[in-house]
Amino acid sequence: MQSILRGGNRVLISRSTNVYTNLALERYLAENIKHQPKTRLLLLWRNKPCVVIGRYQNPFIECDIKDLGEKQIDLARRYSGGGTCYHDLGNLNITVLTTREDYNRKKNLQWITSTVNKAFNLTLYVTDRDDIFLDAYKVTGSASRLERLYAYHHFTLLINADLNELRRSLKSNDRRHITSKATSSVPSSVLNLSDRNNSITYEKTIELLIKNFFEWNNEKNTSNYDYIDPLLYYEQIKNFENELKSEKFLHQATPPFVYTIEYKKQKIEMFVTNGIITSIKGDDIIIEKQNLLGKLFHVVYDNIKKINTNSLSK
Amino acid sequence: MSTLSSFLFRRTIQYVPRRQIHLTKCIYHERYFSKKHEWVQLIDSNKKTNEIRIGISDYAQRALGDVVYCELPSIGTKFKREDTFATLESVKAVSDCYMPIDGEITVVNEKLQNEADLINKSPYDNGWLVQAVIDEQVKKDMSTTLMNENQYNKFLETTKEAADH
Repeated sequence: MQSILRGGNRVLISRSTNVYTNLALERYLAENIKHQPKTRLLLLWRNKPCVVIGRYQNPFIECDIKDLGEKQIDLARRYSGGGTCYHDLGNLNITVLTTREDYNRKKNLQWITSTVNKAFNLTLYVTDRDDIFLDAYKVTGSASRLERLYAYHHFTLLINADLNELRRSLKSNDRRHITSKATSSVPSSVLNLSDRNNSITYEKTIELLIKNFFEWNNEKNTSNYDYIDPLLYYEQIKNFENELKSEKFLHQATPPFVYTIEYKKQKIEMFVTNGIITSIKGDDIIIEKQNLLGKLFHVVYDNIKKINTNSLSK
Repeated sequence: MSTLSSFLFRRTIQYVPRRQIHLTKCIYHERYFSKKHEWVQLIDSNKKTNEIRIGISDYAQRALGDVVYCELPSIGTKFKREDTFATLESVKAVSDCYMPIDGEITVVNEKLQNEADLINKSPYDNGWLVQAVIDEQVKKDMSTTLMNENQYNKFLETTKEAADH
């Protein structure tokens, strides 16, 4: 079983559609595989509907957390940087894992665009933000993580995702209340590849990429691909998976921010660091300062919203 | 400096663009570099301890691109050489910074909280990351475990790293 960690040019396709499991698997492989220079590991995966924010983003700015909960859309923070994206089964995730020295985003993206363009007769191109666009529409966003011995570049590919759900899920009414230095997302209009060529499916794309991957790496051993069921590696990945699932990681890894509300025409500012309300500026007779100071912001969030709406309804 | 002379001094340096004149009590020593492109510099700040400043090199900041966020360690944390002591986010890549030598963090650069791009604009001055105390043996070994500026520049010439990050 541990041969799953062997190095070389390989492709792994995850059977899981759970975002926490897949992100944990990705990190586990990155940290434990015996990376060989000048070789690449390609990890292909997709998730049930979920929203994934970058390592230093603020979930309250990027989406409506309550709304996602009601729709049973998972919310996860990943280990790499970048902006927020929506995943569902029509969105393919691709990770290219290499040694730190071999990290090269442009090469990965150029491989994808030329492979997909040739096979499906499209005109994808790579932008200088390392996105892939089709005409004026974004089909791919990138993010990376660089560590001492390894680096990975992962990116999405919109094949036939639910774009309406995507737009609905990436909306937040809280943006104007929040000031912070968190990484901001750069929104773009999106498009599915299948909108331009309706013969494109997830299965076809995977097949294409697997076949072409070995050519790209001049690899003679073209059967070096496996479907992997992360459940079989539960013991190994559970620490990462638990961290990714935890409220602590989702909320307390948010960079410091200030949440401002208006109460009776007075501005009240709440300073949140590591997810905890550390101080409140504004008239303290009005609001129940004691009930909020020192508390985890996401836990008292509903109460805060109530204060704001109460003042608006007067 | 008296008020008049500092006034005159400020007036003169107004007309000297791009030259930075440090008016500090600290005396700065030679910089040493690690293979991971961090630099270390001893600083004397009127104390008897060996304190150093750590940052990333100009080569590293250019490879990263614009830094948008910086996660720094807590004061008092002890690190061993090659431990991750900070994480930088730049143009969608999250990258770790590695301790060039063993040390205990004493100060972190608070300015980076609001101006993370100081790391790009001034990697050797205002864009420093942390300060740490090191012990005597580590200080003595610096010239052997790390590269001086000349050695580092030669090292850069032989490094063929992928330039686009």
